Amino acid sequence: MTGVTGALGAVLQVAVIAVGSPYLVGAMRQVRARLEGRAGPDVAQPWRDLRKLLRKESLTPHGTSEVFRLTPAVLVASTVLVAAVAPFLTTASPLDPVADLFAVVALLTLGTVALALAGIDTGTAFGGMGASREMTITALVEPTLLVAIFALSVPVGSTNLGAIVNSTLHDPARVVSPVSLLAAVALAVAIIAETGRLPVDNPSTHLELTMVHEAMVLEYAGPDLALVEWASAMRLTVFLGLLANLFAPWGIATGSGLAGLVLAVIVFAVKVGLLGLLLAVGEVFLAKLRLFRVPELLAGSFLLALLAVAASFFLA
Amino acid sequence: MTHFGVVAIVIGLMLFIAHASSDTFASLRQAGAELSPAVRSTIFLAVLVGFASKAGAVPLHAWLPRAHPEAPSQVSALMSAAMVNLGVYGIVRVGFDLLGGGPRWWWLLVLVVGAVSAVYGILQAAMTSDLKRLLGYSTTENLGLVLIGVGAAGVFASAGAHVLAGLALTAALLHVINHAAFKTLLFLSAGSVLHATGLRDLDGLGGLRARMPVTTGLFAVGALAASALPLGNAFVSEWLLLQSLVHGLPVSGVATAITMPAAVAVVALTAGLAVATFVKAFGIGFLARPRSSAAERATESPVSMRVGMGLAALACVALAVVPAMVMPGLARAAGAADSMLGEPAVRGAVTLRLAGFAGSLSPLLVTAALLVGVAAVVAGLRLATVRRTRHGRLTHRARPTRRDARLWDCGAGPLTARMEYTATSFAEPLQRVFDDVLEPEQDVDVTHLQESRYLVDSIEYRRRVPDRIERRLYQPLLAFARAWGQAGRQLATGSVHRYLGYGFYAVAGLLVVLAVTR
Amino acid sequence: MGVARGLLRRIRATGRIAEPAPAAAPEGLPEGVGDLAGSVQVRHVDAGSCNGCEIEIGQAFGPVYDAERYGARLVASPRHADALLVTGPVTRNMAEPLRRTYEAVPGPKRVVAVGDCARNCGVFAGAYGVVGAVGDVVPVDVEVPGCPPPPDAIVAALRGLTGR
Repeated sequence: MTGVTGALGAVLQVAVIAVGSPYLVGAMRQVRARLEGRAGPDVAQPWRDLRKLLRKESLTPHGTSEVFRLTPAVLVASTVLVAAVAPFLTTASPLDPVADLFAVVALLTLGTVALALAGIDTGTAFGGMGASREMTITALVEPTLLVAIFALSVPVGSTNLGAIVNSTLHDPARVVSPVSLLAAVALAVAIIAETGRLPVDNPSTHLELTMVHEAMVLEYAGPDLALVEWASAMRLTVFLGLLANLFAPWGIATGSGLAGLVLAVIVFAVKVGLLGLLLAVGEVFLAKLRLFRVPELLAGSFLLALLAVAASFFLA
Repeated sequence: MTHFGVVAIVIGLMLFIAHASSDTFASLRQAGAELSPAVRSTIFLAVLVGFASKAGAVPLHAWLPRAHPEAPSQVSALMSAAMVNLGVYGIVRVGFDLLGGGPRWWWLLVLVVGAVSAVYGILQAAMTSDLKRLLGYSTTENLGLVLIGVGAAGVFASAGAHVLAGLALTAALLHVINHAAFKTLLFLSAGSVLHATGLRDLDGLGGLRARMPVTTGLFAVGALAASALPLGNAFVSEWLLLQSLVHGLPVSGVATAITMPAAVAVVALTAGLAVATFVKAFGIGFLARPRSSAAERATESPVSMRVGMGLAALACVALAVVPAMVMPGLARAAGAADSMLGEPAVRGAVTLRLAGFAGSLSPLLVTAALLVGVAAVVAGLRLATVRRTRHGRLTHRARPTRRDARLWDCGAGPLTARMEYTATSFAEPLQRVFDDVLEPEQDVDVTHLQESRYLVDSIEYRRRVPDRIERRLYQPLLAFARAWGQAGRQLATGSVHRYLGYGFYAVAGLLVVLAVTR
Repeated sequence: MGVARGLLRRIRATGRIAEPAPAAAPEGLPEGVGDLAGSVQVRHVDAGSCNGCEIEIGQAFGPVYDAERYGARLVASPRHADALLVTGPVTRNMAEPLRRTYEAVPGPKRVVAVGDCARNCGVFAGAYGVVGAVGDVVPVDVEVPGCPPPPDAIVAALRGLTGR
């Protein structure tokens, strides 16, 4: 019975993230609009955008190759895979042993790499520029993510996500330990950088010279663009969901029973929604950092992650 | 450089053999157990210096990024894939097997050497725009990772955690194999590019994917492996290495508590920079448009070269998908190195499970899921477009589903190859971030028009990232050696009388010494 | 921290400044409006404007008129766009870029000529540097009259495209 609900939970996770992530983006835009005194589009607008993009024609910019054409699919596939294996709704997923936290981070990085290669593949100045900046940020974010993961998995004795989440469920006091708090801050900064939010990157910029993520997708149009935007919404949801469940896993379904799964969907939506709200409110108060100040921010978060590891040993 | 390494190895082994009074492994092993700590340490240090220089570890790496690029590519492949591994073999054989492990500081030293090599190697690789030099520095990086694994294994073994030591050693040995596979492939592809274009400089390459599709595809396989991302083989071994370090923290001792997190940070930083490096190598070198006429005229290499690369790529893919096939061999090797090791550290055919620790990964399933996922998305997209035309809502402006369009150039003139990002510009942000470590040299020459100095004729920008260790350590050393050589030359003037005089004085001096001491 | 608190206080004091949405369904819609299904990404092209229209477009997407609530959004690349918002008479130097921008937009696409200059060259008609109105270079779907057109007219035209 546990196996069946576990499998059901894994499928449900993918469905919830695939359907829900554009709504998350819509809700964050709505929050920003409200704080800026605007009415803003409603939360379903990103879905409307995606539907329209799917109806448009595809373009093949002259001289681009399969790398450019396959990247949106790679981006979506890697994100969906992470949505399936990580514990967002249930810890009983049969896919849990397939990939651990290191593999999840590596899979998400694979998506970033594909996008950077697509940016270079266009051969435009902006594509190369975006790719260069994105890889610089990734090269600094990946260590932070890995070290923060290390800090979280040392007390548990495993890097498997299910094990970490279960152990936090059984020992709630661990959440307020210095290890956990330091790692949470480090992870939060890394996630902001990786998802291209302020103050690292401005997702709504129109100025090519300040772009990072946007510069790489300047050539995508129609259905390809729909996939890229959908994938980046899912990546945001996945990252926020990971942050939520690593540090506050309560509400996640642990055993069999459909009621637990339904409750988990609601709790997950609330948690990710709250984090999204926090991020959107924070963005109203922040300006984008100069590109070469970003490494300082990331180095700071790397230091926090290292401190978390040190704490995990000395305070154990 | 290598001579120095050989001298160190010979001194170490001669010392060992002198104490064992025989040179078979069995007698050395027996003697190794009875040596005094001081002698053991001397032997290990001498051997470590020698083999580390063979493995291209910092600070004895300087020969590697010079020698590997200059050799013909198939020889570079052999050097980077096979020769450097001998260094690792030497350290493991002498340290673990013959000397039977040792005090912890030996292995901490190995670990630190590995960590410095990994970070320094990949930083230099990230900066250089010479494809083969990049691969050479990447060898230093990967051997650094291997030495981290070997060092960690030694630390664990000296603390009595033999299962963990087995895991770390297995990770290190698996990485040796993986590195051999992907580095062979990368050097052979670089050779193929060199054959077709005569270029090693990434700044002049580009656009090869249309002209050399096979080489491009195979290089992509190697680059994916080298950046330690899923679907690549090095991902599995780096995953094992990280696992062994994660579980190593509870092994007692403050030294472990400080080194293990630092080692993880190093592996993590290396992984991040490796991703950027190989995105540069593949993206700038093979994608986009050609940046020189040589790259524009490139044609695919002959079948014989493609077959060689294909075999190496096949090895990479096999290792990536079913790493379990080499696990029994590695377990045997690890068992031979450390007699206390019992069972193999990693089990499972499809899903790798660590023995004795909670940790699992299934490279096969991840690969399959990703490939199926990509295929599903592509098929789903096609389905969506089909449905679109059947609904007939857009028929009044019906167009083909895919249209060729010119690149978006902001409406201005055509984008030329000169407007593309190059390897140098790609690495520039990283160079700024690591400015203090790399100390790059840049100069800008502005030539003014003759009529007015306010009008610029041309601007020339040059950047070089010198190997700092080479400059700080080797050049003073070489200068010193040269100064001594110069001083020595004054003795040899060519006069026979003078040489006879030297002989006379030497014999007389010897007789005096004998007379005094006897 | 002080800055953030000041900003927060101001946000609370200001509240919502977007004007209430006027009744939908402006008349004179082009055919086949439903295509874009409530979402129109807009790329603005200045083909030689005096920048009067730009100020009004800025207002249309500002907090008071808030065109974004109707599903219209300014984007950075014509590849992402569904509609071009063209201002000014088309000058010689901008004729080819305008054509290329139009080509770069994936279909189905719309062109909105904003302001009198874009419709019929306005006061610049016959000037030596002017090729013609926007309609002479690319097919125009919607025209917004005015010199400059008021923001609510621009918003009404965009609502005509989004259908919301």
